[in-house]
Amino acid sequence: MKASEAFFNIAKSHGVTRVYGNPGTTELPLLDALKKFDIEYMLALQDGLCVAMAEGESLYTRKPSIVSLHTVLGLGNSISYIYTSLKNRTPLIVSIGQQDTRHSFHNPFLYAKNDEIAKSVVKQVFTPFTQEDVPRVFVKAYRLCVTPPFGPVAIVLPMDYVDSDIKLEHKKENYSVKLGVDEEVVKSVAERLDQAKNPAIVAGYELDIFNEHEALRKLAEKLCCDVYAEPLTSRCAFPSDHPLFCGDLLPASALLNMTLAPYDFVLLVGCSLLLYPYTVLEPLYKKSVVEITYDAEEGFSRTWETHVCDVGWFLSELTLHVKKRERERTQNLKYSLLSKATSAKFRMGAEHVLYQISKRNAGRAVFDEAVSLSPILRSFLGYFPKRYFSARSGQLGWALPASIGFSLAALPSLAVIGDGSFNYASQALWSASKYQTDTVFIVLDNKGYAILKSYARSRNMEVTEEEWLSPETKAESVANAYGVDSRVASDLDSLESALDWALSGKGPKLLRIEVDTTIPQLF
Amino acid sequence: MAKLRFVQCASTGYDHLDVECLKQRGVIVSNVPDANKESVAEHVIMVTLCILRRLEYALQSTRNGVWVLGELASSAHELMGKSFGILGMGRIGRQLAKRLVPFEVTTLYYDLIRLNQKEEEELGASYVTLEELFRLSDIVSIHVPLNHSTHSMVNAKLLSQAKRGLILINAARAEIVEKSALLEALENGTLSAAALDVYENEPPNKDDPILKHPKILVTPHYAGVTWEAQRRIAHRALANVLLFVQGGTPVNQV
Repeated sequence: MKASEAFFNIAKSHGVTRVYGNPGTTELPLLDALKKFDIEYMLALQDGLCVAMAEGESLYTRKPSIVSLHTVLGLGNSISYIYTSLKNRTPLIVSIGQQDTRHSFHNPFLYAKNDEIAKSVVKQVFTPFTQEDVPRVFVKAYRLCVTPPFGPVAIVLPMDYVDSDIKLEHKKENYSVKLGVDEEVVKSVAERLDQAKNPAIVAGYELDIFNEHEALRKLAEKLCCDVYAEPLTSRCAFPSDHPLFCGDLLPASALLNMTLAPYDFVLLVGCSLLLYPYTVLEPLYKKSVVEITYDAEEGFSRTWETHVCDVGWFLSELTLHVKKRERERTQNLKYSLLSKATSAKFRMGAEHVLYQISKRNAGRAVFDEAVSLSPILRSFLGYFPKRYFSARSGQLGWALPASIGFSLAALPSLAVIGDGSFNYASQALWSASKYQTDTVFIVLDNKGYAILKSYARSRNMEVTEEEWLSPETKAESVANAYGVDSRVASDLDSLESALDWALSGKGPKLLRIEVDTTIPQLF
Repeated sequence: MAKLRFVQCASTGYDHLDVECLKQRGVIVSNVPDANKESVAEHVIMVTLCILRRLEYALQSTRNGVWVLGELASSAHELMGKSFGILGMGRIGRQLAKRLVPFEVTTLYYDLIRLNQKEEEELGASYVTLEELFRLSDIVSIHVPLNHSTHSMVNAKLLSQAKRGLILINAARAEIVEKSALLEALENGTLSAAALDVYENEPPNKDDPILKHPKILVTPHYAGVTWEAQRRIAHRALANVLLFVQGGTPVNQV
C-alpha cells in the first residue's frame, strides 16, 4: 500500500469525509489517493480560505477536519487563518506539502523549512522520520488536536514519502483524555461563594466548545447571580435570552474592573479575558477571583486563583455544594432592543437593521465579522449554543469561508460581515456557489474601516478622515462574478423586502445593506 | 332637562358627569378624547426630566445664592438609558412612547390590549405584565382611564414589587393610585419621587400632605391644559356641536 493510501485509510477510519485545499504540485501525490476512500476534496480559491472552511466544519463537529496546503506558499497564505484556529481552540489537522526529500540538499524550488514556519501558530508540527510514519503522524496529530486545549496541529508531508510503498498497517484505536476535579477545591470555592454578598460569573467560549451550558445554567440559577460574557467572546458563553445574562464585559481592564466593581466575588468559567486597548489598571486587581478552565495555557498565564479541570464536572459539583439564593431581578436586557431599534430606524442604524435580521433569522448559525458593529450584532442576534462564532484572533476574512464550511458540515449559516471584512475573503463565494451551501452573506456596508476610524478618533485624530480608511466596493458585483445571487438594500423602503428575500429559502445569497456611516465610539 | 338631547364635554375626562343617568334619559354625551394628548405627553417628559435633574432644588438653591453644583453632579440623572414604563397604551400613552424614542430609553408598557407588532416596532415599546412594568421600570407614568377596574390599581401590593427608587407619574386620575400606599412607598424608599397632576379633590386641601411632601412634584391638573390643546378642544367640540345641530350623529360618544 502506498503511504498516501494508508494516510487516507486511517483518516477515513477517524471520520474524515472531506479534505479542504487548493492544490499544488507538491500535494498531488497525496491527493491522488483520495478517490479510493470516498473522501471529497473541497476546493477554495485561496489557501487561507481552505483553512477557515475546514475550521467551520470543526466548529460544528467538534472533531478535527483536514486542510491540505501547498508547501510554503500555501502555508504562508494561511498563517493568519491557522492562528485564528489556534486562538479559537478548534481542532484542525494542517497537512503541508513538502518537496521531494531526495533533492532537499539542493534547496529546490518550493522547498522551505515548513515546520519552522508553522510551529508558532499550531500546537505542534510533526514530520515523518520515515515513509512508514506517514499514516502514524495523522494519528499523532489527531490525538493532539483533541487533547485540551483543542487546536490545530501541522504535519509536513514530503511528496516522495507519501508516494512510497509501506508495509505497516494501522487501524483506529480509542483515545481519550479526561480532566479531573479536586473535591477539596470545589468545597473551598463553594464556601467562598456562599460567604459572598454579591457574586458574579464571567463565562467564556469553553462552555460552547465543551457543550457545558446546562451545567453553568444550573449553577447560575441556584446562585441567582449576574452572568457576564467574557470580552470579545468567540462563541456562546451563556444564552443571551436568559434573565440572568447581563451582557458582555468590555475588553479594557479599566472598564472591565468598573463593571465588576459591585461584586465581591467573581467566578471566571471557561473564559480568557481578552484586552484591547491597553488601560493602566490591572484586570481584577485585588478582586476575590477564582477561575476554572480546561485550558492549561490559560491556567498558567494568570496570577489569580486558577484551577485547570473538567469545567462541566466542576460546575456540577459546585452546584451541589452552594446554597440556594433568592433575588428579585430588576433588569432584562431583551426589552431594551426594540427601543434601540426604533430609535435607529430613520438613520438606517445597525440596531434597526440587525433587529430586522433577528426577526427573520430562524436558526441559522451566526458568523460575526462586522467588527465595528459587533457589539450591536451580539446584542440583537444573541448567543445561543453552537449558533454564534467569531474569530478570537481579530482576523478579517475568516467569517465568510468559515460559515461556508459550517454549512457544508451540517447547518445553515448566516455570515454578517462588514464591507471591509468582505474584501479579505470574497473568493470564498466561489466555493459557496460551487457546493451550493445554505449560507447567507449579509454585508453591512458602512463605507470603510469604521473600527479603525473609531480608534483613530480617540487616539490618532489626524488620520480619521484619510482616504485609505474608506475603500468602497460593490460586494454584489463580486458575488455575481462568483455565481452567488445578490441584492442591495440602500434605504428603509428596500430593507425589509431584501431581507425577506435573503433569509427565506436556501442560500447561497448575498445582500449588501448600506447602513448608517456614523463612526461608533468604541474606544 | 326634558329638552336636553346632547352634552358635549370640552375635555377628555367626563367623570364629572353622571353619564349613566344622562344616557337613561336619552341624552347623548361626547367628549374630545385626544385633543390634549400631545400636551399630556410633553408634560410627562417635562416632570420626568425635572425630577431626574432635580430642577426644583437646583432652581431654588441658585435663586437663594447657594451654589449646589457639586451636590447635583452626583445626584442629577439623565433620562437616556432608563427604563420607562407606560401604564395604559391608549392615545396619550402612544404619544408619550413616540416622544420617548429620541431620548433612547427602554420603553415598556402594560395595557389590557396589546398593540400589534407593527405598532410596537414604531413606538419601540415592549409589552410586559403589570407586575413586570413596576419591577423593571425606573419611571412609570399612568395613562389608564378611571373605572372600577383601575380604581386603586397602583396599590401597596403592586408598589411592593416595584424596582427600588422608582419614579411614579400620575397625570391621569388620582383614584388610580392608593394614596396611603404612595406615601408609604415614598417613605420606605420604594419610590424615590412622584409627580402628581391630579388629586382626589381638586383643588386639594391646603393641608393635604401631598402638597408639602419633599419627594412629590405637584402641578394643578394642567398636564393637558395648554393654549394649543385648548384651541384644538374648542375646535373639535364646536365641530361636533355643529354636526349635531345640522342633523348628524355626534362623534366620540361615551
